[in-house]
Amino acid sequence: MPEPTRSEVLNEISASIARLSNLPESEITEGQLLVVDLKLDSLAIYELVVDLEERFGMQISNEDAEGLETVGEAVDYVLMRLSAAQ
Amino acid sequence: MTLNEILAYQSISDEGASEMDDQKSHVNDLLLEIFENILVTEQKALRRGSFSDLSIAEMHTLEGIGLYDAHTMSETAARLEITTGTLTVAVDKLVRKGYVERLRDEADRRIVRVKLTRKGKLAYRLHTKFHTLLVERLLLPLDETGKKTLIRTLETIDGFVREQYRRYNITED
Repeated sequence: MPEPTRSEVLNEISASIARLSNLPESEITEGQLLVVDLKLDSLAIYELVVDLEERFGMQISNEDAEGLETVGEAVDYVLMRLSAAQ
Repeated sequence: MTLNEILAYQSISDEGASEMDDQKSHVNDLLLEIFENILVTEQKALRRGSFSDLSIAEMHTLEGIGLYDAHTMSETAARLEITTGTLTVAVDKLVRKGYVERLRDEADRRIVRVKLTRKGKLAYRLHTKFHTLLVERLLLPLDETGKKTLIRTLETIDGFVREQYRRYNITED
């Protein structure tokens, strides 16, 4: 299966965050802070993590999840993990 | 040694023994309080959170099942150091509450595996975070030497308690 592009990963993450935050997907941008701007609490961050694990077939530790501050960092992280698994 | 010297020595010894008793009593109180308070705090944190229908024992069963694995019932029971009968009862409840699912082994349909559901994974992660925060707060005021001393002391306590556990387990068997 071809590796997803940056924009595909961003779309997946935005869709997940939109579901968790009740914000329209179009309002979610790479620079936004997950906790401060998007008001995701610990449970919502872990929901996002489980979505990413299921969608991209990877295992993400709590430590890694807590290190992700922005939407863009989450995109970079997924891309880095997918690239490392190739 | 004169009588006065013996009495003086006795008095110092008694003082030392009394101090020792105070120390033992203090260590005993601390151990009991730490043990009790961690359990109570864990339970209260669970009750307040999104997984208030879970008991601490059930949470620890989820930990024994593991975040990603799908072990057999006997493997999971061994990890938790409980009987498969006890695990079956616990898993039945956790399945009803939506935290665990049973899966038939693809290669051998007679084998049943247990796995966390999405809800189970979220509870597991939040509980792990609780423990991480607890440890972070505990270590925060300590410098590197303090941390090493604490770890050494805890390892000694752990070794001792494990040894006692093994002894009593053997006696019961």
